[in-house]
Amino acid sequence: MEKIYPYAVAKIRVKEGRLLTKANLENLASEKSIDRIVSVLRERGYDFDIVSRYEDYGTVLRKTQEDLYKLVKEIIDEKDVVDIFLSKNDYYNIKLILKNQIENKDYKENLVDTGSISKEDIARIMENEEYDRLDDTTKSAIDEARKMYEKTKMPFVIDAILDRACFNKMRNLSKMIDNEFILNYITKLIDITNIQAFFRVRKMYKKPEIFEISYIEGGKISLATFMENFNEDEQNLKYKFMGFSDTIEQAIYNYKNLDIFCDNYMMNYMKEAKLKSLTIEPIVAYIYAKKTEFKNIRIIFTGKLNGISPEKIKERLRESYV
Amino acid sequence: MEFLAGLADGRFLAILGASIAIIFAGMGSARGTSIAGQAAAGAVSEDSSKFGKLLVLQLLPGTQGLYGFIIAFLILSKAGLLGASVALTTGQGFQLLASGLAIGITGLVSGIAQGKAAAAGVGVVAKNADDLGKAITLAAIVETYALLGLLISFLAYNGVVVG
Repeated sequence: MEKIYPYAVAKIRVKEGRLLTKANLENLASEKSIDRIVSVLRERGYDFDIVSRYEDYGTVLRKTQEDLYKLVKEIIDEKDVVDIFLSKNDYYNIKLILKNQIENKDYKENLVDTGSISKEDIARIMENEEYDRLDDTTKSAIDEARKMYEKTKMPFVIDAILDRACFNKMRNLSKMIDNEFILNYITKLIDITNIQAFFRVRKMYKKPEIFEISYIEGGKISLATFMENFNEDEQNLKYKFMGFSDTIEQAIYNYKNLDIFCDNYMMNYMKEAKLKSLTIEPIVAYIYAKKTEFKNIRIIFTGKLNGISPEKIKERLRESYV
Repeated sequence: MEFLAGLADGRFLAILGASIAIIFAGMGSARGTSIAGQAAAGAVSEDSSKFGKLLVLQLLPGTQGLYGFIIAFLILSKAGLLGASVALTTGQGFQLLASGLAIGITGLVSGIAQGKAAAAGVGVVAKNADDLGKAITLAAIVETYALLGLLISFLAYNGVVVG
């Protein structure tokens, strides 16, 4: 029988009521005064008291994100489930440390404390090369990334290899908890990430071997399909990726908005969780909804601080959960 | 031999029937109110003003235990365990035991199921307090099956002639 989370889901349902709606976000984008934007965000739980100037909104978002993950750890008592969402942050830290170690730069300021391993621990593990404290997937990915970087001298390979390992870990964890919604979420995320990488590499590097490095296994679209179609004409591409023709069309005819399209595609999937009342789906969807809200607030602030017009800001906004 | 004779004793069988009625229906209610209660606690942890409304939803799966108690009480009473002693045959004991099964099993299953429906209702009220009536109605429909179990238990109990 599927595990139920009555306490957590009901708590999340109340919190969902405090998420910013599409209309709220558009109003914020049209708002002239940053003071007013901040006051609306304060009402929604964003603590602007921790910063002295609005330009530091990133710190507020980071703190809110830390609170979000603290909440998730509190309300879900299984580590495997929580780690599905936290591993991405561990890998963010590992990538940051590896790239900065290569350039001998200080990175401690930029580490995030929202992973399954604390930022102090991960820094210690990486500095003292205590990789045995990490799981096998991560350990071998770090090793491979270092070797590959030595060979190619392209920092891009570090991201590609560690992202792949991160998705692998997420996929293995989601298989362990055997929840169809989470499994589908990871599969869709992998496919979307692969399609984005496919078009990025096609446009920027034009070399299929580079795409091969960043290809993530576990999606519905096989590496062979991507490789066979790497040099295919744009007009034919949408017929080659069954089930993803909308995404492909977007990539071909409106590439600059592909990231928005992909985020909205995932959000529409997340909205299916609204029909679930006791199982883990609403919690997963809330994490995604909140992360999208952070992204939207970032878009609004960046736009406002750089004098971008409300219309342009609205165009960049992602679909919200409520 | 005495052990086997004890098992065939009418009063023992009646007590077993009463126990089944209260144990299983009580388990259903305990699980059901626990699920709904956890959900209510989750919502109250964020918005304590909804406590009163959510309490109603938590109470809904509590009725099965009460139905089980009523049937158990009636069985014990008919078996002469609460007042003047009654001579009870093995057959009559089995009949009383069987009458307790209906509410025991429907109570167990419907109690848990109603707890889940009530917990889902908590989510509805958490979002919009005005929807309490709808949430109660949806969860209350599950009650029908506990009531049917109670009815059959009562009819069966009533049909058993003792003494």
